[in-house]
Amino acid sequence: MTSTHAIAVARFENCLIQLSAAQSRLSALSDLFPQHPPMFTPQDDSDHARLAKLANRIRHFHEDITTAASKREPGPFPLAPIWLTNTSIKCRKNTVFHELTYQELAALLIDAINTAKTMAESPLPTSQAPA
Amino acid sequence: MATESRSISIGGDMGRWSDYALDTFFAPHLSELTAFSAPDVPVMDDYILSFILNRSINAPDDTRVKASMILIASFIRHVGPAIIEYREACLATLVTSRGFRAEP
Repeated sequence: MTSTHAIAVARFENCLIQLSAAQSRLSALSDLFPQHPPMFTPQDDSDHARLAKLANRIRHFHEDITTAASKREPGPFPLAPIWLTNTSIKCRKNTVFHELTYQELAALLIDAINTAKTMAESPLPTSQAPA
Repeated sequence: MATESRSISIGGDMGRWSDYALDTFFAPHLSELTAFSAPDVPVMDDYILSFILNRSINAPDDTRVKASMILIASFIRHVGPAIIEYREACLATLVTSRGFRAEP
């Protein structure tokens, strides 16, 4: 039997991966059209940047384990790439913790809906930009 | 004498696990997941169809336009599933947060 908790974590992992992929497409648009500034930089602590950090931990969790195992004194191994609390999703990279609250995740999703609507119904970027 | 290996099969809910076992063997701080709440997010309309009908047909033959159309379509295709996963995740987490503290 698969526990409900495992399903919950897997669903949130899928959500974060999908939304991170969507975010990366918008970042690529900024590369194509430099007049549109990037949504975030990896160094900042915005909700976009923390979403990317959570998604990266999911993608690279196997590397976290092998890296920890290769150390002379590995210490406690990370148990999972992300975990759920009452108010947020958390992850850890080395000794640094990152957190995205459910409020922030919901806001990112609603922003994404509005962006999708705008992009589906508005002129393409080149027609907005000067020649 | 041959060594016989044995496995243990456990079913049912997880209400009997100690906080230490939950946090050590299942997930960090799992025992603290007791009062989950998250905002609702509505399912997204089918904007990919709007995008194709409004933008893809008769688009100018321009490399950057073609690239942007692929990126925008991909963006929209990822947002829809992200929302569906979020909604399902919230339901499962709500059940989980109630179930861990349920009396056996």
